[in-house]
Amino acid sequence: MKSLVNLVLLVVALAFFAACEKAPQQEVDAAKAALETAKAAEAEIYAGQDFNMAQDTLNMAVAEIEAQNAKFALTRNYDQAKKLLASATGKATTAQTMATENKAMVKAEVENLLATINTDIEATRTMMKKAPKGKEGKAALQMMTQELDAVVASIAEANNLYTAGKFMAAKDNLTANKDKVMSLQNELTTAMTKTRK
Amino acid sequence: MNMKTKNRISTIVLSALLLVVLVFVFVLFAKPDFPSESVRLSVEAIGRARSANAQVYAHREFLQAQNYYNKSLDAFRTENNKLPYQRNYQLALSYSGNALKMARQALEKTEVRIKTLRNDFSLGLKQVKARRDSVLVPVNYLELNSVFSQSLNQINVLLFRSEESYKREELNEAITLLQEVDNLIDQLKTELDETVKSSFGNSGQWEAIVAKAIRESKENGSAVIIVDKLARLCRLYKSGTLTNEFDAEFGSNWIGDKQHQGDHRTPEGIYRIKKKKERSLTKYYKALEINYPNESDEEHFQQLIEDNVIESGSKIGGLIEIHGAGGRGFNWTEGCVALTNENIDILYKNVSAGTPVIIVGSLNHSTELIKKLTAEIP
Repeated sequence: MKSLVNLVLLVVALAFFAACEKAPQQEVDAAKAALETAKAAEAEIYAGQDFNMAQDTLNMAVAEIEAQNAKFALTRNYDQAKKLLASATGKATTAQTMATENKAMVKAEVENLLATINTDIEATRTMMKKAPKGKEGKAALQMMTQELDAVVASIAEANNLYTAGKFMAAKDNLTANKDKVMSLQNELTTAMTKTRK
Repeated sequence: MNMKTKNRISTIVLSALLLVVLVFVFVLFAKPDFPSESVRLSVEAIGRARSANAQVYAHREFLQAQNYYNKSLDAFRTENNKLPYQRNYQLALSYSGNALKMARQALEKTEVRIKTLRNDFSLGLKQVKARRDSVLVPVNYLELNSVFSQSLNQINVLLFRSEESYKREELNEAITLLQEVDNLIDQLKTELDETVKSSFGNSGQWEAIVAKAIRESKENGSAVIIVDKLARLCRLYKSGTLTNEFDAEFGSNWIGDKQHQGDHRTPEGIYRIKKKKERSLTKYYKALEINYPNESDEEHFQQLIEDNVIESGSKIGGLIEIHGAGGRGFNWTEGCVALTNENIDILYKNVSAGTPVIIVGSLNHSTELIKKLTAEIP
């Protein structure tokens, strides 16, 4: 009788421990690490929506884990929490990838603008040399030289923004300056066309 | 041991086992329900606030919501580690409730803040653009675009950046950039005021010189030419009466008195016509050469060299004329006064060598006009 009771208790204890499911701590850590990596890649700036979704999904997963932890050990089920954690990790990774891509894209745009605007400025200076002189033209060209110098000074500021990693601001600065250079080129083209006629 | 005793012991053991099982079941299941709904609501509210950018526009409230939420999770964990019948989720629930409340407040504040910032931006953009345009009026009139070219370009670049930030919903950045533009306009306005004050501030003195010259013209029955640079006018008085008024153009660097050769400034002072030049003697149709530099100009030039304002090797310059070939609509000469050919014809006929020529920076009327233009900048 005694051995029967012991056997029953042993079986119950084994079954109890076997059925006990552990909280998915490893997955939680993985999701948190993925979010940190995304944050370091400036996902908040360059992939804000995806980053927010990853953060929210992680919050939901942690809440679900606590809901399961509150249950009797034999009835705990972390499947939903694991699904959410996998989703949070995936979204964070996507946010990180997108941020890296978007940032690289803006950076490349800035580099391209920096390279082309200097060429444009040189082209404008060459056009100015060929532009009609005379007293009127001379004064207008003098004015244009000042305006080009102002553009050059502003590009130095864009360079500083680029070095500081503020690519969006650098891009906007360069776009505005490029527009200015193009308008000067148009003015010169018009003046040269008029003279030819 | 007889059968009866055995049965009794079995009953006692089974009863004890049953009691243990009952206690076990009680310990396991007699626990409060986990408040999943409350937690879900706070998680969702924080998510909504985050999507609306509450971390930017209602930073304090959003941070509080997150802190409460983290505290609620900690409290839930603490309770879940206890035996079920010992659990009490009240504190965790209270934190969770606070998280929900703060997240909702953060969202509300964000929505209001975004609306306010959008309105502020639209209004600010309109005002800043109006200010920029009104600064351009005196800048254009005084032909100071080249002097202020860097500030003007910076204003336009920052305005562009501000508008682009607004398009990206970076409202704080957009407003900050607008404020930077506003500050730049303030600086430009101050510089403009200083230029007007230093270059045209002594119009009272000039007014007296001109009045004296007109009086003498009346007394002597002679002609006098008065040139007002700021008003861009050349006036002819005969016997103290204004007979003609001509539009005039000056040196490209026209503000202020001439200092040295090649500075493209038109001199200011009391002169006389030195020589009348017919068409064959000038490339500017007809010309009236004045006696620049006079004694006062020589003294002024020496003083500027002594004060290291100009380089010691500089030359004072000369050959300042009132000539034709003007009417271009802007200041372009190397320091002369240019009139249209039609107007130099009239002037040429009515003056002779020795006729006084008074060139002033401005008279009261024109100074007031430019002061009004700068004062009109909002």
